[in-house]
Amino acid sequence: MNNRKNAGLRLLLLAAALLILYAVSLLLGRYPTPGLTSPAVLRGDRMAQLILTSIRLPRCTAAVLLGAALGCGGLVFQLIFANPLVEPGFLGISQGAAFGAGLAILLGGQALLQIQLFAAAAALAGLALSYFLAQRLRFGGWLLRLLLAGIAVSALFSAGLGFIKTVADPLTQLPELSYWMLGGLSGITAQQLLKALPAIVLPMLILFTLRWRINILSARDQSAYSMGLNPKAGRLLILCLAVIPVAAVTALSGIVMWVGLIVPHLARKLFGADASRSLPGAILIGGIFGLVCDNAARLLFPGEIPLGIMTALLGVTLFIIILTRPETEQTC
Amino acid sequence: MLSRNAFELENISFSYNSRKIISRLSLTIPAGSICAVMGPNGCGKTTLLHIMLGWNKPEHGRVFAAGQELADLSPRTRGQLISLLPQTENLSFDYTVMEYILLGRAPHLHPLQQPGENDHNIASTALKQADALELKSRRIPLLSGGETQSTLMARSLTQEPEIMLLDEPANHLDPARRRHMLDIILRLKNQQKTVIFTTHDPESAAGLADYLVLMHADGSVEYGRFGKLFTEEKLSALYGIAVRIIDIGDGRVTVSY
Repeated sequence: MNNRKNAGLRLLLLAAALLILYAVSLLLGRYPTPGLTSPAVLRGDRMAQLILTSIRLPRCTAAVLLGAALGCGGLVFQLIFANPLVEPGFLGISQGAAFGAGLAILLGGQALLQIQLFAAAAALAGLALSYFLAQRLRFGGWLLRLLLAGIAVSALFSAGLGFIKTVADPLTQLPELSYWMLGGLSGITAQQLLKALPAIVLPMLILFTLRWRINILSARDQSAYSMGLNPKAGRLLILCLAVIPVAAVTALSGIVMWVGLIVPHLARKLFGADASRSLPGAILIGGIFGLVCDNAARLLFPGEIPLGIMTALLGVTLFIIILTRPETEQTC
Repeated sequence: MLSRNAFELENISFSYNSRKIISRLSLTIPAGSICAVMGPNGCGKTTLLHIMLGWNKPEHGRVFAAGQELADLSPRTRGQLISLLPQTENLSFDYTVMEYILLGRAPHLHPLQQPGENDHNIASTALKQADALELKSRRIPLLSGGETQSTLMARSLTQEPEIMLLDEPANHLDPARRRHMLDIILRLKNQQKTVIFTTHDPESAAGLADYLVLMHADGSVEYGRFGKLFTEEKLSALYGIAVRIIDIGDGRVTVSY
């Protein structure tokens, strides 16, 4: 790939694209007329201004952060597990969040905040459980054990969620539950977003500053150690930094699949594997991806389409395109 | 060099899954020498390298590298002192060779620092030294086995260590590349580096090593000057088969078994 030389320029272009898309998204909606609101109309319409600042602004910001956190988390996970097929929710995080939300709904939680708190707590519990189980497993190397523990814990949570579904009220609780399972950002407020903001942004900033060093953690334990790192502590630190934003956005949006899997592949296609460039690349591409999908979710039809359906549609399409292209051979 | 000795192992023991692999081993490897480690499969050659790296901690005894106790070194200092060429490596992603070997600069950089021009120059020199300059912009997943080995060698060299641990460096190499690899190791000796390598190939050890470690399947270890230990009798006992060593001149031998 000789086009890696102008990676800096391409990062800037991506950032510019994200900014423009963000600005346009703020003007897109169904009020006062479906489609783009012109700035002239906006100036004269108090209601349109209010919708822009208190509904679209937090929602579009959340969509960018959601995509960025999942893209960044996915890239880091795939590097650390040296496996291009893992996604950031697999260590019990996604299923944990779903179980937590389900439990909150079953127990009669009405307020979104309540559901989000349950989801966040259960997501982190899922991660902790995976981690401690991995330490107990008597099989394989550390990464394999984490992988196995993640699968086991996710399966436990999804069994629990299945139970919740069978006992949930099919008329009131079940629809809410399935909407949450498919993910979505409708109804998100600035207050909710601000509460989650530090947990989303700060770890990503730290990851960004450490981005070159993350590469070394993709080597085998002994090699990373020989290059002056403590691989176990290093991986734990980096995994936590990647997971916290994912847990935070998942608590806001519900389960949004495929972003964390496909965005890192796109980033590596554009920037190569070196995380110095692919990590900022994944953050920007993730932001664009999240925003595009959320725009489609809220604008394509008069009713809202669950975000998870949009990300799956677009994500899987891209996935198939990438994996069937001839130059993909042997290089993930 | 802080000490005349690259390694001093004092009375170390190590077990793996309650099987004793090394028991009460003491040895001293002088700085600037080349030491070969030989023994049957599963005797613990890689384990011994990993003990010298500090990755495996011996149950008893102490390990000194360049005069300092290995366990007391900071990871950074240790990384500047000792490098490892591993037997296998995870190479799942689409790095270029240059991007990849630059990772070897990690122990010389601060946690938030990225490799700069100086590091690129060092990496280029390392590639040249490993006879692999033409691989510079190649993509790791598309390299052949021999090219991968050269790349790992270059990564080790980029680390600019005093001591290099090489785990079967000539494995999977065709005769020409094997010769190349042995020449690289010889040149390292001229640069006063200490090289410790494991091998299943007595002939390549014969062209290189000043010292020899023989690790027996029963956990006993012999160590000494190469010429003292590299005998038909010792090698026959080591592998449990009749080994013949035939001198073909120029300090080279051929080994028949």
